[in-house]
Amino acid sequence: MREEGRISTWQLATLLGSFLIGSSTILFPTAKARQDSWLAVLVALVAGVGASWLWLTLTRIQEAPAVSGILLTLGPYLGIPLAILYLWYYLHLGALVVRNISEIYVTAVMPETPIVVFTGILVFLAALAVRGGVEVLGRLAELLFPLLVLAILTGHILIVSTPRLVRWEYLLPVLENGFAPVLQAALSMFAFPFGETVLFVNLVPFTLNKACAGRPVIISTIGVGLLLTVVAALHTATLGADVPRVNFPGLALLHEVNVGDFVTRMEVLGIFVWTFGTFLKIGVCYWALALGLAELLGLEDYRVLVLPLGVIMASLSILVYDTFAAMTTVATSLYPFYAFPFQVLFPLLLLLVAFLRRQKKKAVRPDPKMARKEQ
Amino acid sequence: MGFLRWMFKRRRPEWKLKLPKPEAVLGELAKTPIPPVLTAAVKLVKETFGNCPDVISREVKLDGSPLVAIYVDGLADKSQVEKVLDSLLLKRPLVERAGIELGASLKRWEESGLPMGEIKTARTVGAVVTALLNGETCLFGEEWGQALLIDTKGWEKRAISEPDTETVIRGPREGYVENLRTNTSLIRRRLRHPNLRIEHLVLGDITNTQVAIVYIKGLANDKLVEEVRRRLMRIKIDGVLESNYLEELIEDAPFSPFPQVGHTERPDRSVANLLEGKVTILTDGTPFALSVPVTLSCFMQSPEDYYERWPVALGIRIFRYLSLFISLFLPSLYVAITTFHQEMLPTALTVSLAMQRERVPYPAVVEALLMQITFEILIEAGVRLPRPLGQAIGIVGALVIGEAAVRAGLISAAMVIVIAATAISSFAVPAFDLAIAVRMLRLPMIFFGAVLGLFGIFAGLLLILIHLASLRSFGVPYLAGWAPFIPRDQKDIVVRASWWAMYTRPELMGFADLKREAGDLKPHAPGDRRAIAEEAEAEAKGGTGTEEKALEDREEEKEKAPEYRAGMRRNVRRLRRKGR
Repeated sequence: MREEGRISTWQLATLLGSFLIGSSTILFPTAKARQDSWLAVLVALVAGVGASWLWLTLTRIQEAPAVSGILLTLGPYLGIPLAILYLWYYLHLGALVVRNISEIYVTAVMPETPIVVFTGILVFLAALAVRGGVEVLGRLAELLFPLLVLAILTGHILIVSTPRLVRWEYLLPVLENGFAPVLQAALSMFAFPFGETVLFVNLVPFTLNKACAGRPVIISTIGVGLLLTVVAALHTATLGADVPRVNFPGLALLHEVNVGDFVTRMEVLGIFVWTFGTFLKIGVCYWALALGLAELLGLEDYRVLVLPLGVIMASLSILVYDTFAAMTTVATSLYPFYAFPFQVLFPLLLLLVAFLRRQKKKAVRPDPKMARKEQ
Repeated sequence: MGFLRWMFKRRRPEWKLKLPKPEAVLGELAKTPIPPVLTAAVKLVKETFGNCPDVISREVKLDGSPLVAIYVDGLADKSQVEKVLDSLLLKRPLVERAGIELGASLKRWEESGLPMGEIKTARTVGAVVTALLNGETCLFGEEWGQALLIDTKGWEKRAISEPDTETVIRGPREGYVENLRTNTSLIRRRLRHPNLRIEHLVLGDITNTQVAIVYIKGLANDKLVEEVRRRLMRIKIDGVLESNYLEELIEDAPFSPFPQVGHTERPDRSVANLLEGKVTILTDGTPFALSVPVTLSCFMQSPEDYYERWPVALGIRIFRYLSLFISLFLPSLYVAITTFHQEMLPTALTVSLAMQRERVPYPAVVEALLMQITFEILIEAGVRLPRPLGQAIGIVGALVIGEAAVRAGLISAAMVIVIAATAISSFAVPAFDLAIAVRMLRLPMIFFGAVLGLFGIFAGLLLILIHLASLRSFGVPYLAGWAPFIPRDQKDIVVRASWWAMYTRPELMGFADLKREAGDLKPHAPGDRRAIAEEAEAEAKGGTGTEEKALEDREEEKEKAPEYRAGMRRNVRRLRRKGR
């Protein structure tokens, strides 16, 4: 094995949770649903659980990390192109996330600093973590995830306790334009955080207790999904249905916090959540990319690839968008269609082929234990 | 990377000790058998030591045949040596009366001739020299061809006293001393179990320092003990003067600022470590014992936590963690906020800070670094100075840093407060080496905060976390408890649960025997539902109820009380009369 480390199911769950929290609260891609964005999140969550179940089943059948799994299932002629596509997806996703968080810093926190400082430092730190292996990633997630949840909860308790900030009537009327806009928004929301969990196909084989990996994954997805639903509802309830007009709704929201004229402007909580959440998300993408590439190239150790890939990822993150507006537009309207094959189609295809192969194998060479039982 | 590594790779010559080992000094002598002729043997031994005046020989004539005792003055206990000589001289009439040729028979001497604890024989000069250096007395006789080694060890040592580095308000006051044997006895006295194992090693080719590996068999992981042994065995060094020599040679990540081996001066703490399944390493010549493996949380535990009632310990420990964070992040946060993110503070506070900073001629970073460096120098000076002068330094420091610098407009008052809070917090961390590590990390953190604001601090925090997450101490993850998260261990990490709730050992160290106490130790007040149930159970077993017994006892005491008091009065009267 190229990766010696193993993670516990708790680490898997927290990694997944941080991955989902990661950058999703930076840009809520649910503009189309207007005041029903929380409904869109819920629908996306249901779809997301379905997608998780899909790739969980895949890992159960394949029992190998993504790239070797693909190669084993599809053979070299179909497998190598698909593996390369997937690796590109990991790289692209990592770059997008790096861009998201750097964009926050450049736009809202330190406007005079060039973006490359943030991307460079973040990718460098992620490189350090990835060099430490999956164990270090798991431990970091374990340390940071509770803090992330705590920070989110604190932020929202503060928002709710700020007088005259939350107006629940903003959430009305429910389903004003029917269900169509909600579904459209849900599609974006599904593609943005929930579908991306397909990356965890790489992590499950490194879990200590593979058989029990499914439940924590689903529980973590549902938990974070519900948290995101509450967050979306609060966004609408404070900023109104026109949330997308604000660059970073989360920041705008925390800016309004004012409890007793002393606890004011809690943007730092948001920045904290985004920095550490996205860091873990970048780490997972980065690690999956390095490991997958090492598997594809047949390298003994993926660590030699870490720094070069980091340079590529950091540069790509700067090249990937021109402006902040492009980022939001792509995230809401283009990304779902781009990511759909990676998140649903290919896993389905793989699952189908793997299933057929297994059936064939069983038919050709029956399991001796089973045969004995039949006698 | 590979190129750089090649460039800076040191081609180390194969390890070679300049001074030859003791055996090499002895050369052929080491294996030379002791000559049967007495005078030759004595001469040989004395010449090996270069006829040093502290190697003393005493001749006793016994039944016509001479015996010579050799010992090193100062290493051997004088009174013990006298006892040996005494018995030799006293034996003379006995021998003469019985007509036994004791003087000639080595066997007899070994079996019944001497009233000493430990007697061995040596056939080579080398063994005799080692024994002499260990404080033993060597007895030579005519035609023996061997020497009798009599245990007379005893040298000047410090009395057991309370350790200065780890004082407690409540708890035992004994500390280790520089003598290895005393230290092992301090452990054994607290841990009376045959499974306590003490293994001796001799490290240091010139100093020949004794090192003891102490562990509880069956509790400490065998692999861990083996690993400790392996890491200690590979040490080849001229001398081991303090346990830190070993610490630096056995730790996992030699470049990490964080301590990966715990050390303590308190035997009670060592015993607590042993009971958790850790291994303790004692070194002769230093009162500091090492214990491995450690986790970050071990450095935040003070022995006192376990000697105070648990609510007290719980609160104190939470504050300790808070102070760790303050001492690491407060100055950098202050710099970051005043430099970049003024909007994060409430308006009134921002204005007040700005007014203070108005008179200060340089940016907050310079201010912070100046103060921090001054503070570090003050601490260092205070530690090195003799005690009366140390106080003077304290006054100078307080006046110069506190009042004068602010009045002169060199430093803002807020910065003084920040640095003072940081300093105080760093002293609240119970482990000195962790506090130092944090102090050393503070300067780069200030730098990060000054260059990149909040992002810099987050980056610095991430850097530290990544490092900590990849660190291990003897195979145990450094952050064990948090990462990997162990729910069962939470009772002794940030909080300290009550003794009746800490029923398991730390999972990654004491997994050989996890259970540490009975599960139902929580006490109940009499009349409590649980207590009544317990009583009923006890009665069902045939015993009397505890509560009833306690009540009876109390009644008895009450009845006896007047009698007791009268007795006391009588005693006092008697004493007074005697005094007169």
